[in-house]
Amino acid sequence: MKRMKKLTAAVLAVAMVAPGLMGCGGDAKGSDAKDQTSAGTVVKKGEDPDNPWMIGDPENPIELTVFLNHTWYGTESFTGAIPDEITKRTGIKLVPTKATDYTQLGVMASSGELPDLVFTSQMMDTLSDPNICYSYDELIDKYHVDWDIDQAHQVNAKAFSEDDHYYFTFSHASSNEDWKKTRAVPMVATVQYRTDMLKELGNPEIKNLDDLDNVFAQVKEKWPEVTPLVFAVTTWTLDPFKTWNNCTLQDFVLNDDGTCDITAKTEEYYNYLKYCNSLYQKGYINADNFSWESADAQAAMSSDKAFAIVGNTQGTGSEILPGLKEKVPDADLAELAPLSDYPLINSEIGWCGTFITKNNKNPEASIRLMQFLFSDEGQKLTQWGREGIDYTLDDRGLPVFSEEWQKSIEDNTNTDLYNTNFYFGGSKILEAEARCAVQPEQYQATNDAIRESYDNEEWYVYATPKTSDGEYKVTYDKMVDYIKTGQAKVILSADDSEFEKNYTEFENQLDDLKVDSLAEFMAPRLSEAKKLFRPE
Amino acid sequence: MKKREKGKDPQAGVWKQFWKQRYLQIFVLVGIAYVFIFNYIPMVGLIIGFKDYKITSGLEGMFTSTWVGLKNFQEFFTDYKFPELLRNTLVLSILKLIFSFPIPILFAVLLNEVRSKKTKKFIQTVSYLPYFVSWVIVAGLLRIFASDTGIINNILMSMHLIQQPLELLTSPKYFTVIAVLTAIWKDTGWWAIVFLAAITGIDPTLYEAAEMDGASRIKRIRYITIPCISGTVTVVLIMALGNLLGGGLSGSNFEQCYLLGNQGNMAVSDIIQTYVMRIGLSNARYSFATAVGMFQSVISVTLVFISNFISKKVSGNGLF
Repeated sequence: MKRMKKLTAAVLAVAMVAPGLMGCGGDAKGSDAKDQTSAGTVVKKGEDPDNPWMIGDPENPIELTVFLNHTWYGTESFTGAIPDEITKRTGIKLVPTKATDYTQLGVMASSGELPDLVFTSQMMDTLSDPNICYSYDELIDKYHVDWDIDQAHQVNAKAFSEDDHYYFTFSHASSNEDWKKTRAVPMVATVQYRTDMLKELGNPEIKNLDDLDNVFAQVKEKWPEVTPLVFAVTTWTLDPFKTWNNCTLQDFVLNDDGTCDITAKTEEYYNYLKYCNSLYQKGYINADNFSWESADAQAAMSSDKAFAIVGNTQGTGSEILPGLKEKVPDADLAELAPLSDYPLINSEIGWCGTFITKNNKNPEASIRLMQFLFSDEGQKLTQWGREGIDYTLDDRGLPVFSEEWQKSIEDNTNTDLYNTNFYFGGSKILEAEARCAVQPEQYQATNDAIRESYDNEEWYVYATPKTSDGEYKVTYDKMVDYIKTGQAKVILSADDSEFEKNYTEFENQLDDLKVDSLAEFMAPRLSEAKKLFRPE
Repeated sequence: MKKREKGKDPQAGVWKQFWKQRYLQIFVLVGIAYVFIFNYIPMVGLIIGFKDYKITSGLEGMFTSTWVGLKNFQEFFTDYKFPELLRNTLVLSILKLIFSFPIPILFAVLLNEVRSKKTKKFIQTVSYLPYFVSWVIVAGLLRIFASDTGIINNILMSMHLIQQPLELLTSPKYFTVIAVLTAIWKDTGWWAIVFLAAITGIDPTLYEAAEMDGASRIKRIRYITIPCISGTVTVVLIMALGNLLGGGLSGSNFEQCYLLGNQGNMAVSDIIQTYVMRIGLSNARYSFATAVGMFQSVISVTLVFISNFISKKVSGNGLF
């Protein structure tokens, strides 16, 4: 009996540990087997005449796991009216996992623990690899998917792969021409301010940086406990002041003679740092902001402790105003019009890609889902909701949202009820139109001015060093990292002499990084990329 | 030839003993298997520190990718940030060792002198509770308390000790102080338990004899308590030195620098581990990250051997 007990104890001990050890060796195959029940079979498009986009079975949907490589992503589960409608129309349900930090994806890729889909704006060159992901072109051919992806989009995605395949197609791609056709405004950094406080100051004009300085000074004098300007380092930082100091937002400057400069070493960048330092020295910004997330800056605004906030041009103040109005019922926000004639130059060929990994248990359903999400119907559903219920179209084809929808924006419950966080096939134009449709009227004039000033110079982002560029990519990554961290020290200099000392150190560190050789490498590359986008 | 006596073969004795304890030994084997699987097998991966490994080549790529010799090490040693990172890592680690190592010993000795058992237990419980609070929570609380408008600045300003709020969270001046203080706050109680256990093991007759000889309390501490726990102190010190670059006793350098570090205090809060995370892991440069990790490990192992050697020479105590 005693012997039996001992034997049982031994067996139990092994049984307790064995699953743990076996679990460590878990790989894609293991998870495939586990999820086999939800893999589902694909109904070919067109087989169901009532549901032209039907891929699976809405009653027993195909479940696809997706990794959202954005720590800030607005939702952790695809629930709400829009995800429900997607399942209803396609028979697919997405099960997301949101990244906890930006190293997670790399670790997942190296350990072979990738889910069915990966939605990311980073590591696109790493994932554009036949060992890790399926290429879109191969899947389209193999499953006879009737999806004609625009040539320009194919070229942009192929820039990230070393073979002649494209492993994603960019979401949120837009051209200058697209923006000319809409009344919406591109998303760029800007400053939103309290109109009620400005009114109390007698509505002084803010047409340039000197005017803004005067207003900040008046705010500080009249309300000493209020911080004139707040911002978050994780989002737009102090970007508007780059543009307003005639400095580009890109890392490089391609000169007319074909040479290339590192933006951080230009005179304009020096002026930007000098201006930001003056804001700090005068007490208009606080050092604490260099540790803030967006929510911290928004909290400062909504608790009536700040006058202005660095945000983006598509903001509606929905994260700020509900709380602020409880304290100050008359409070309202407006957006500063550009404070210089310098154009708002973005560089974008799109934003994110959805990769169909080799662990994917239903590649056919996945590629068909992507086709739906990139279709006009899919884009409108994911960004505007259900036509006839959540919005109707006006004469110009722009959405007029239902009262419930508008109220959910004001109450900040839109994500819970509708959940527009379905960005995989997102259109930048539709997104902007949706946001601008619910912006208060006072934003319109500023929006027009911003749209007027906007230009997209795609070649900068297209030519960005990739992993295959070896040491140049390493230098580039280190440069971006250093600029982000090193400039804070310069901006937070206590006085002018310390500023000069810190700026010299900033420049020297960039030299130590050998950024000049990076600039030499980038010059022909940028010129070639420019010819690709602007052949003339 | 003499017949070998049964039971005299020492090896046979070991096996016999092992067989007797076979059920208990299964538990030991589980522990050994754990260490082997999770600590020894992954060491094979160190090979990628000498290779041009890309994650796209998978597990197999660890062995098939190109050898690059010491290229990754060279890159780190010649990196523009290397002097700053090494300085920050060493300064933080050494300061934490200097301040956070003796305090638990002192605390344990003082706690041992408390006569009331209830008070002693209460203090002990309160002091080791912070150990169980995650660094994420500690960092979150600090962000609230130490911000421009936080309670610390409010108190200092209301007492007219300062005119402007201190930039506690963003100024490089305060980061190291905050890191050392929070490490002490969080770990003192926990490590005090180890030393208190050692003190409890001291033969009480030594104290009785000393008391009869008229030794004061301070003298009893100096001549009995401290010498009797020196073995434990040595072992803990060697362990702390082994993890010096990771933060010593608490091993919290990375957590503190990652969670409390920001662009404002980066000049002192950027340490080897955070840099590797940003430049190595975030950019999927695993070979580089491995090389740097290996560099840290080699330093740690060297420190363990040196401290063990010195300790044995000086006090006769050592780990091995």
